[in-house]
Amino acid sequence: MSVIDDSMRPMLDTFIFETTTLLDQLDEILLEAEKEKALTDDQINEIFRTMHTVKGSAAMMGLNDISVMTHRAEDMFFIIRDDPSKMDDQNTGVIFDILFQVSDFLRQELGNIQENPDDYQPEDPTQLTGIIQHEIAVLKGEAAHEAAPAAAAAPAVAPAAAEAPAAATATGDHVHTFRVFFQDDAQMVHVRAFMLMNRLKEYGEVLDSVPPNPEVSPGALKEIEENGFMFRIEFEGDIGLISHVIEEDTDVASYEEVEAEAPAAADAPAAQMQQEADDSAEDTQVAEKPVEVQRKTAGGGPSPGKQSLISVNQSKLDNLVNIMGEIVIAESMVASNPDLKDLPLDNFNKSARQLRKLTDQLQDIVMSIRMVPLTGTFQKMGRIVRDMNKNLGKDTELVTLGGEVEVDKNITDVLADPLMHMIRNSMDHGIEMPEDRRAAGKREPARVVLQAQNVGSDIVITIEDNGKGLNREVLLNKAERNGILTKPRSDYSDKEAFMLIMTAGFSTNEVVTEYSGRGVGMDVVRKNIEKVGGTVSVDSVPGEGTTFTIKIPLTLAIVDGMEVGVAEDTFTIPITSISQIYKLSEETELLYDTDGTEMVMVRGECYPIIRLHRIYDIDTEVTELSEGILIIVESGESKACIFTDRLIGEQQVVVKSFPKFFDRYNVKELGFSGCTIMGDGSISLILDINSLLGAYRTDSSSMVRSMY
Amino acid sequence: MADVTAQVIDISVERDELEGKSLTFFIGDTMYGLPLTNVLEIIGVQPIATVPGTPAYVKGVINLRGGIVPLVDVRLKFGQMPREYDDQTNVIITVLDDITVGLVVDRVSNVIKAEAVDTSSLPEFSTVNNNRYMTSVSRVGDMLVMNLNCETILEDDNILHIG
Repeated sequence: MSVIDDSMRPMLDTFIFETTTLLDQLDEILLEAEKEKALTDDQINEIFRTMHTVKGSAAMMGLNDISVMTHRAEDMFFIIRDDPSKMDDQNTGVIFDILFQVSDFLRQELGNIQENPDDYQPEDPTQLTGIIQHEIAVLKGEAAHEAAPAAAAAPAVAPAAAEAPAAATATGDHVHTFRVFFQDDAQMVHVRAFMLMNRLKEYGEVLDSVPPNPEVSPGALKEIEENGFMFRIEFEGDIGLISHVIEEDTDVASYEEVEAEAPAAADAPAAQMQQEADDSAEDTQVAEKPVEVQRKTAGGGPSPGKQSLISVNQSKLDNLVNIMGEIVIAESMVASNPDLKDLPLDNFNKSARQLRKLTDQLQDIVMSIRMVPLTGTFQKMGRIVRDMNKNLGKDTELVTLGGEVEVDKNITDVLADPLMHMIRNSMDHGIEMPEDRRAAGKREPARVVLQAQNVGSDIVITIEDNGKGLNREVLLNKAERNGILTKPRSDYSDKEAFMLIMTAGFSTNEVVTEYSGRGVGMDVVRKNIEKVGGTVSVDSVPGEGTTFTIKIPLTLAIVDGMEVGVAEDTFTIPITSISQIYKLSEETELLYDTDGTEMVMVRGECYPIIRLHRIYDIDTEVTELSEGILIIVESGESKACIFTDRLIGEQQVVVKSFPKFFDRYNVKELGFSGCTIMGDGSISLILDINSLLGAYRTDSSSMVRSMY
Repeated sequence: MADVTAQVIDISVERDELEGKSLTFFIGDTMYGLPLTNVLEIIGVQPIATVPGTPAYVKGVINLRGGIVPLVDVRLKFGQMPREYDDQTNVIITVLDDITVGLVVDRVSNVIKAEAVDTSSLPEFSTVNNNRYMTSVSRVGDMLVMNLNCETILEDDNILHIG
């Protein structure tokens, strides 16, 4: 069994890519700083954050050696960040050496993983962490330099390097063994076995299987077809749930739960596990010769996984999207060229249809290149919550909603890190220990809700926990001690006090944990999100929980829109805002309020009417309500009827923001969130129902009044 | 002159070669010049989507190869009577800093070189609004060219602002 969890496999490429990029940046900083023989505050912070990020994602991947190493390095920089003067002439050289060694160590590990992800065994970080540990002591003034080499080998500091494999082999009463047979006509049963295993991972830990790694090992297909697929799963609770999951798989013909004692069933996995336990034991004991251990385990694994991701310059993608738009237009210009009118063109039309089909496909692909659903990002969080539950002894469930919301790639990139930090923060600081919850009389299970929504022209992501909430006084005390209060305590509103946790150098937890760190996370969160023009806010009710709200504007997102026409102009109304579309009969009576606002009664509810042609001053022939179309829209609590000339149709559109030129005209306040290019090359303005209702409900009434 | 419509100025040309040259165009009978360094290309009039809540001279937006480009009608910007667009009407796509704007003009004329013309700065002759859009006057043969200031043209003009 590999160190790297199979469920994490799909993220391996991303992890390697991201970490390599970070290490490159780190090296650049180090080289530059070494030349100057000093570190600036910014550089210290940057190194600190790099270590923090690498630590976080390595912990997520279950790569303990890397996370331990970076954790130590982070510790060291914590001291330096606190008091940069500690970096005196004597220390500087040593610290740079250590950092380069750390960087080399991480690169080597990454290289090993990349080369042989299936049989990867972590290198022992003890020696290096020992050196760092010593340097930390020196920095603290507790030790002198001369003793460094001796401390290096000290086993006392040997951290959790070997804990991971050992933990994975833990057995208990909750281990069940299943044998599954697939349908005779099922194709690629080894992949199906792998998928089944992945599904089951949501419920418990799949310890091992026969054959192991069915999706990659040669011969697995045949073996599964003949002997069935056998696996052991560690699962606490009603085993019926697991049976149910297996039954749900339509390709499964039959399955049985095998008694763990049954020799046929348990032999192979047990033997394998024994071997594994030995290996890890050896790993800890022979810490001085890790290379040997590695050589032993690295032999004869399956072919290495190649990196399947490439990074593309964003501007190239932008170009691609633009050219694509032009091709679509050119295509329709050719196919419906007026010169071809009334000509018998059977063959031409056939080819033109073919071309259209291809360009449509191409367009879909081009659009989809940049857009990714948040599901992937959300899934990573599930893993974090699971691991933290185990480590902190908490019992929290993660509920994710709205993972299907699609966002631009660059937004997911920006989001991944902050979300990770925030979830950790909620888990670590927000959610109480189970006994504390019981003592507080909280019946419902601890829960973190991660939700994404498309709201108007923003993507709103909320992270809500039902933990202990934030304590205003505690926050203020802490901030006062750290000297980050900018005004008298009494002047802080609750909201401002809560926002203090997003300030650099603030941490409410006295104990530094592997997860939430020291408050570096939350200020990174804010910085990262503000970088893309977003905002973060915190809200909390003591004793009931805390809610973080991230708001990020869409610069490019696909929206399902209803196209409507007013005279020559087209507008796009987001489908999510529309509750009903209908046509008035001529007899329908209008109501007028005291201001003269036109209103219409639909199924007992009264809606004010907003005439698009009137508020946007468009000349149209359709002014009788019965001639046009009424669209009932709602945003939050407010509802209204929008009157347009005609419906054009439903379409998925790509939201483009208005050119900068329009910044001076407040188009946003007029109710536009952006524009979009239609299939025929024409431009449609996208209505933002929220601001439209805000801007015109009062306006339209005054306009109507002036008419009467 | 209509063939200019299709002509796209090659922007890969060295910037030095563009320096000191002007693109001239007509509004009515008056010839105006625009620094060539600000000109990206010249296109014909395309379908325009109007944007409510903007001054009359902001005609709306067009789709330029997938990009949204605002159009400013120079005629209206200068406070002259509107004129129906015809096949001579051109849009000059100009770039200033990172803002791209299409200028609608009656017709595009020519590219002239500064050294071939006799240029003089503007007299402080009037408080006429148009004055602020110009940098100098040049003589080319028997024609006068009003050299325009790209920055002020693209600026908002409160006097004409409606809404």
